[in-house]
Amino acid sequence: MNVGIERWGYAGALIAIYLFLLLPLIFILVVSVNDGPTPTFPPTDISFRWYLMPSKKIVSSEER
Amino acid sequence: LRARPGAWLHDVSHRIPAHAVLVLPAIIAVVTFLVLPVGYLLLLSFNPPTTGEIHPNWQLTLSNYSRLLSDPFYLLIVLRSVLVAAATSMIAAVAGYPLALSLWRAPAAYRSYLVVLVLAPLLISVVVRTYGWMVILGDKGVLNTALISFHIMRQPLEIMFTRTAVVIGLVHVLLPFMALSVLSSLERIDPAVPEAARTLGAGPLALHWHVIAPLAMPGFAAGVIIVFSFALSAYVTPMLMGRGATDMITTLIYQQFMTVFNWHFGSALTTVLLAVTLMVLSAALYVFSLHTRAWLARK
Repeated sequence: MNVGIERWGYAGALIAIYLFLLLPLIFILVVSVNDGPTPTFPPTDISFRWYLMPSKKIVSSEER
Repeated sequence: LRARPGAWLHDVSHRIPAHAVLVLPAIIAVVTFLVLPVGYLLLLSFNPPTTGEIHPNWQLTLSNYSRLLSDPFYLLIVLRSVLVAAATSMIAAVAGYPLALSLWRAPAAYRSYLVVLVLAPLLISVVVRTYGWMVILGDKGVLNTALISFHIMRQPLEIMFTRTAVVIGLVHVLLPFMALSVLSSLERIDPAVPEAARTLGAGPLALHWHVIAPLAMPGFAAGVIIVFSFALSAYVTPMLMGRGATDMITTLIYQQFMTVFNWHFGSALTTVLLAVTLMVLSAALYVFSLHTRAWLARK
C-alpha cells in the first residue's frame, strides 16, 4: 500500500516538474493564436493573424 | 655547411614538448578572454572613482571597496543575491534529482523525447520565456484568474516583480542543467551494481539511498555549483521578473556601468561578485568532498 502511495507521489511530482518546465512555452503558444488585442488566457478567439502580419519596411528619420 | 631552410623551426619544435604546443591555443584563449578582462576590471576597481573614465591607471586606492563594504545598502544587495541563488540551487536540486532519475529509468525509445522536453526551456529566448511567466504570474494572469474564479483568493497574489518570481524564473531556466548533470553521473553507474544490491535484499528505498544516490553525488555537486554560479550571475531574469535595477547585484552592476558610468565602483562590485562566487563554490566543493570521503570510509 505504502509503495503504491510512494509511486503515485513520485509520478505526480514528476508530472508537476515536467509541467513546470513546459508551462510558459504552452502559454506563449496559446497567447500567440489569440485574436484579441491583449494577451488573454484562455484566448477570446483563435486566429493566426499574428503569424500572418505583413512585414513593415523600417524607414530612417531622414526618409520620413 | 649550410643549414637547411626551416631547420630552426625543426629545432624549436623538437625542444618544445608536444603537450605544451597542444595546450597553447587553450592558454591563449583563457588569457585573452578571461585573464585580461578580469585583470582590467580588477585594476579598474582599485582606481579612484571618476565618472565616465574607463581607462585604468596605477593610482591605487581602496575607496570603491570601502564604499561597498561600509554601506549596508550594498551589503544587503550582495546578501540578497546570494540568498536568491542559494534558494534557486536548493529548489533546482530537489526537483532536478527526480527529473534525472526519470530520464535514467525511461525506456530507451522515449528517453530522447524526454530529454527534449527537459531542454525545452533552453530552446527559446530568455525574454520570451520570461513573458510566458508574466502571462502566468501577472496580476491578471492565469494563476490569479484561476485562484479568484475558484474563490480561493479574493485579491490577486503579488508574485510578478518580486523575488519569488525571480526564483521561479531562475529555477525554470536552470533546472535542465541540474537534471543533465545528475544524469551524467547516473549513466556512469554500472547496471550490475543496483542489480547486485537488489539480489542482496535491498528494497527500492535502501537501494536508492545507499547505492544510487552516493554514486550520483559528483553530478549532483557539479549541478548545484553550475546552478548557483548561473543564478548568482543572472541578469535578464532578475531585471524582467524582479524589483528593478537595485535589487540584485547583477542589475546593480549594470546600472553602475551603463547608467551611472561609474566603471570603477561597478568593477569593485564585479570583483566582489566573483570573490563571493569562488568562496561559496569552494565551500560547496569542500562539503561535497567530505561527504564522499565519509561515504567511501563507511564502505
